[in-house]
Amino acid sequence: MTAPITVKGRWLVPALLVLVAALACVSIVVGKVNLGWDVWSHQDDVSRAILVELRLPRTLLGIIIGAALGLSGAALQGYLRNPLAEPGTLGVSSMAALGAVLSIFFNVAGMHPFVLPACGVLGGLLGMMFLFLLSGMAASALTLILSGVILGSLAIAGISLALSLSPSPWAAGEIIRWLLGALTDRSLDDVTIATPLILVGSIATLSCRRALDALTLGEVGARSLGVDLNRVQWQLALGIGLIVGTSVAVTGIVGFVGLVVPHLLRPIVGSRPSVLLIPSAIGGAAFVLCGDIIVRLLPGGTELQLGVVMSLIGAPFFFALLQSMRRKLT
Amino acid sequence: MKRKGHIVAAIVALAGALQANAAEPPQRIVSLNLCLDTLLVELAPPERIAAISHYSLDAWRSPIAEKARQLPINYETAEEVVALRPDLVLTSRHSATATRHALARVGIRFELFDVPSSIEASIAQVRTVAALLGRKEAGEALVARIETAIAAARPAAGFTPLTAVVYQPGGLSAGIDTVTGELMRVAGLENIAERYGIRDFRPLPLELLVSSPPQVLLVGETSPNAPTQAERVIQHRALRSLDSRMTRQVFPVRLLYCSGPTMIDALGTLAQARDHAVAMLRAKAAL
Repeated sequence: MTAPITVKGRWLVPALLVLVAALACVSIVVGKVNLGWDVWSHQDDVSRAILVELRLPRTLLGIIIGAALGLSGAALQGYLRNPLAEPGTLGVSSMAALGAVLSIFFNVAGMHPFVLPACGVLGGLLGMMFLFLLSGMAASALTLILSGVILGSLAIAGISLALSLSPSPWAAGEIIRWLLGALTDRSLDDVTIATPLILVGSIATLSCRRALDALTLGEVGARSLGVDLNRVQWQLALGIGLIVGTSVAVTGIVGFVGLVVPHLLRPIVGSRPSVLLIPSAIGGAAFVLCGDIIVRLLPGGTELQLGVVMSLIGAPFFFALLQSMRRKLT
Repeated sequence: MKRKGHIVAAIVALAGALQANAAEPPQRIVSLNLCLDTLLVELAPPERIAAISHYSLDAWRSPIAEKARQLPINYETAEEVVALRPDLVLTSRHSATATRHALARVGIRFELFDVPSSIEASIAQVRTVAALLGRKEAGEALVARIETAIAAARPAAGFTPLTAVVYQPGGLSAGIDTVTGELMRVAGLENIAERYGIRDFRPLPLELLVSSPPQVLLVGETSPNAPTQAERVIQHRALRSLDSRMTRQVFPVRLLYCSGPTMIDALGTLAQARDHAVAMLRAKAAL
């Protein structure tokens, strides 16, 4: 199945790639410390530390995680045939954060750097399974969103409980850090941990694209086209679980990326899920980079959490979406 | 005329109360604040302590976690305090105001203390609390120990201060207006938090710290492998890549918040950090 690409759509991917490249450059340049031009020509160890160890990982993580979240949002909306679906709104991100926080609480996170993201992935998988259980029971858009809200609140309560009971003196701050994700002060170690896991998750998700197209005909239609729905469900749960679990373990919950980006791009590329996946990934990278640049440009001593900016942009968008949906439904 | 009589009566009553205080120091004392706990434990014998706050049990933040296990504790609710039937409650401005109001309604005597913002204020607070407890000698002995520690921590005359900064998990730093800031100055460490406009206890952005690394980094303690996001910042590769420029000294968070007797240990750690850094600089110069 080759997708009919509109004239506008043909220029979309290159245009988005140029945007991401430009934003990545800005992201490297912007920060608390103003690095002059001479820094770029003759590097000393201080400016090297700032550029390579602080700014570069931030930019790379912004691209990787933004792309992964954009992709997972587009895939989930396609699979559930629900425009409000997104790991954040459906509580999958919160479940992933709960998994990661529990690994800190039970003192297993210190054993190996991969334990924390692995527990995040496990939490994300559990969230996905719960979600599919619900959608399998022929849930309406409303039931799905409501159960997502409940799952999310439950997970957040668990996070707060675990961190409050932990002996760490940083518990209160740590709760905020998990609930409102950020890219501040991440290191190249985080990049090397996140990249392989997210790559596997993205491949698993992307290889579902044919099934997602078939699903636009409904489940019976998809089955008649020879799609093994059971397998698709597991593959998608694994893919999105890996993506969301890993990104939450590294940055905390960064919401709304998977909701906003596919919606902005759908009018341009059309409503076929398979065509939407790649542009959503690139758009997600641009969106997160943009948010992270805004966070650093805002005045004030302490940096705002990235999650705050994303929610400030995303929440009104979500409302607008609900409003237009209601008009269509009634 | 009638009013004057009232005032005279009030003065007489007050004098009587003061005399009663002097004659009969409080026997069942409750403290609702970690820093007041440290003072109380230092100044009063254990049998006169009805309860200290639960914060004192916290091994990370409390300088008296060991001793606190031997003592009754409270969770800072008026209910518990009333049940303990104390004759004196020590509270700080950090304690909940609702609790204080409740104590006032029940008629339990409490004393409200500020968080001292300088060594001088802290020493004055030691004396005030000691007088309240009727333990002036113990108070003077503690003040003498603090003053000895201050004198011992001072560098030799003509010492050029080393640049230093406190860096706790989550990037938390102490400004020059804190007691820790003053203790650093005493020990011959120039607190560069001031350059970044840090007042009080505020986070210091890692990028700023890396852009002009101090000679001495007073880092907080972390648990093994530092799993929480707050702790990870201390192990950040950007900081490690500059390890050759600065010496690290562990400065646990339990030495950070309280003054009073805690200043003695804090001064010891700061002086050790300075001597270690000087030795490292000498070794480097010799190479």
